[in-house]
Amino acid sequence: MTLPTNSVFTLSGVGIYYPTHRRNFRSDPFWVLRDVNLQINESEIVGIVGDNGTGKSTLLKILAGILKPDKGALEKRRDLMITLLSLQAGFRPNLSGRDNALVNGVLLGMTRKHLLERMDQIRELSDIGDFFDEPLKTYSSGMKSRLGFAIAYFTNPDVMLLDEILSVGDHDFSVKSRTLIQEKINEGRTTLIISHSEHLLKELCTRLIWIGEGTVLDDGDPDRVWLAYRSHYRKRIGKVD
Amino acid sequence: MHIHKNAPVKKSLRHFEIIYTLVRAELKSEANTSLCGWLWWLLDPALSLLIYYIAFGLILNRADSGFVPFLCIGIVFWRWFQGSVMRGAGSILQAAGLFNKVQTSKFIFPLVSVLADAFRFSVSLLLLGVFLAAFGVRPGAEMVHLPFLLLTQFTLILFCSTVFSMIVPFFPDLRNMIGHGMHLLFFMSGIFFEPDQLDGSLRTLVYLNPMSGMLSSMRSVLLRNQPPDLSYVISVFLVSMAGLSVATLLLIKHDTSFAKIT
Repeated sequence: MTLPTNSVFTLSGVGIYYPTHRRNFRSDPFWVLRDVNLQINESEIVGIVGDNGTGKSTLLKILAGILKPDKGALEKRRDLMITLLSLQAGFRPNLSGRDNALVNGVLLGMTRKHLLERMDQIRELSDIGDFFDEPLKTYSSGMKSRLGFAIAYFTNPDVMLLDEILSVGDHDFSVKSRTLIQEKINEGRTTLIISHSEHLLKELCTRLIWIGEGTVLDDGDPDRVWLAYRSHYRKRIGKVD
Repeated sequence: MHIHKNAPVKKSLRHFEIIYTLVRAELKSEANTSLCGWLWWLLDPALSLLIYYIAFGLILNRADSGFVPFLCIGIVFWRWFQGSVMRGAGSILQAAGLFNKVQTSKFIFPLVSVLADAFRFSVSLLLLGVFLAAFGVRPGAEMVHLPFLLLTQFTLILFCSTVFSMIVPFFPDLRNMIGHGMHLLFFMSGIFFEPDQLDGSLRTLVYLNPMSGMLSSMRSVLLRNQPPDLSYVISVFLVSMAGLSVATLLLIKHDTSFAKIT
């Protein structure tokens, strides 16, 4: 079956379960996503909202190929480079920032050559000075996130999957990283963003998806979907009171 | 659609780059862990050879009988097998944090672990050469078989590591069992004795363990300048290759099952 040319992902009836904690060698499945139907098209900037634990990250992992659905069908364009920007993946405490940049960068799909050519730029962007050549275990957590961001910035995937990584570090770096990632998004690449920031989602996204109860609860204009999500949330809180 | 500057890297090239980078990272990170760093790759086997020399050569006074070189070969090749398989067995489980964040083919992890160990072993092998020379052992023409013997043991290690590494995430208790199994094999692999001197059924039992035959062949080549038991070694090689291929195909087929359970 061929996809319409502008579709990047098409999900029909996608569901996935996690085995719950094992007792006596048996475990009950927990279906975190039950029935997801979606089509993501080229150049769309899609925000994803939903309560914690509703499967937003799981959905991105399915799209990135880290997980496979247990039911339903996922079709994706094969000629595109799809990258879940995982900051700090593969970081080792005993390696320098420079060496970790190579490990993490290669894992994010860059070639060693591409990375070695940009090492000075990564160093500059991370703004951690001479610590770049010190072992990672001497870094503060803020310095680790700066380095992680600086490496990820140099990937050029066709489809970018972002799981709440739009701003990292202290105030200044957070502003800088957010601006840079917005530039990357605005270059026209297909982007999916998990975020809890109303301002950001409304500013960046062309479409908002609300995930809950294992399925897509709403999908469409960001302002409208955000309102629906929030009012549902308030209603639920109200019920509890 | 924008024009991408780094077109999707071809799959095999990407695998190669990941494997190379991870092996380097593992070795470099290990060298940075201790004060003496990479010197431990030399000190570790040197000290263990020295201990066996003290125990058997000095205390049990068997220095003249040729027992010490006999034992050293057994120890060096066995240490490679045991250390590498045990590290390899945990390799996929340990990489869980990584492949939960980035899509990575799982067969890479035992391979990276075994390659890093092959590097560590190459230092031991050089040291063994020096040690044997010090005991007056001179290499002969049968040394031409050594590369094939090394390749066979490498394949055997990779086969065992890959199989164990794919079971351990589902059944972590296997790691404890492998530890005890290795301890048993340590005494049953003919490290301290010549399996050919055993009686019929016991001898067959010992040779069912591929490491026994590998050690005998290593000794034939290195100590006595005799050809190895080629039919035995070739069988070990072919069975390991076949097993490794099946295990790798299974890993590729069930690649995403691991991210779910770890």
